[in-house]
Amino acid sequence: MKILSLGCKTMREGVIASSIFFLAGILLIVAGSTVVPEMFYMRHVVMLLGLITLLFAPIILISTFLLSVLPGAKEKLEKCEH
Amino acid sequence: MINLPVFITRHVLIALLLGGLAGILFVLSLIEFDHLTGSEEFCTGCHSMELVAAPYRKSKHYNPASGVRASCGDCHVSDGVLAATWDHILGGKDLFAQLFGADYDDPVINALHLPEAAFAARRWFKKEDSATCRRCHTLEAINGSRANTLLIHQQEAQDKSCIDCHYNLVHRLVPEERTFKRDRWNRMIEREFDLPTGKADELLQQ
Repeated sequence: MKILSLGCKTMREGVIASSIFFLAGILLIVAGSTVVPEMFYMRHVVMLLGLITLLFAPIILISTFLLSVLPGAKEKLEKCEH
Repeated sequence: MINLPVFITRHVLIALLLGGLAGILFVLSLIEFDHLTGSEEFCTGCHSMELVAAPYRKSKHYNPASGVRASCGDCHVSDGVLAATWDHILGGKDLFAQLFGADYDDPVINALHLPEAAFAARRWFKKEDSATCRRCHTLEAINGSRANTLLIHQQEAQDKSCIDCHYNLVHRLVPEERTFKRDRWNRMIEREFDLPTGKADELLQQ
């Protein structure tokens, strides 16, 4: 169950990963609707990847939050506060 | 005097602000995504969909006297951002089939697989209680030009969904699932494309 143990570093990594997925998702959707050429279904693939990437952002953030409220996580995370 | 919660610090305020803005941007992105991917231009980007769209462009849903044109997403994508996003996620399997499945760009292969696609679409309409039809059509407001149209829609249409009676309106005609005969369909496609007898079964099995 070590993977469920959330420390300051993993909490910050979760937030940063979520932000990266969020921005990457939006960029992929914008790229898919504007610059990606309509060949080999690339436009459709890029748009679908964009949607999936975008949806991962809140999933990662919510998972990070849920891990932070698990019993025992509070003591560890108190060190993160400043 | 009200005791205000002490956990609200400057950092919490910043997090709320950024989270709120990100949330708004997230929802707007999903709305824009649904808008873009529900368009005829996006759907017909696949050649196989161009084959399906050809009869649609001759239909009343494309060229109605009122000028109100229904695009692909208007009929095939649910209303509401969450339901529409879910439909697009499920639609990903169609893209997967297009990329790695049979050669749907081939008009013969496309026509051979069309009935299953039509039946799946009809089942979806039935499951959704023809919700996308009801976006534009209001049952109580259907008068029609024939004398009995109003009565039919007021009495016989009770406990029925639009798709129960109204199908084969837009795309190529496909029989009702219960009466569909695969063998007859295959022979019809063979005649249409001048193929030898049995070729359709062979193509379908590949």
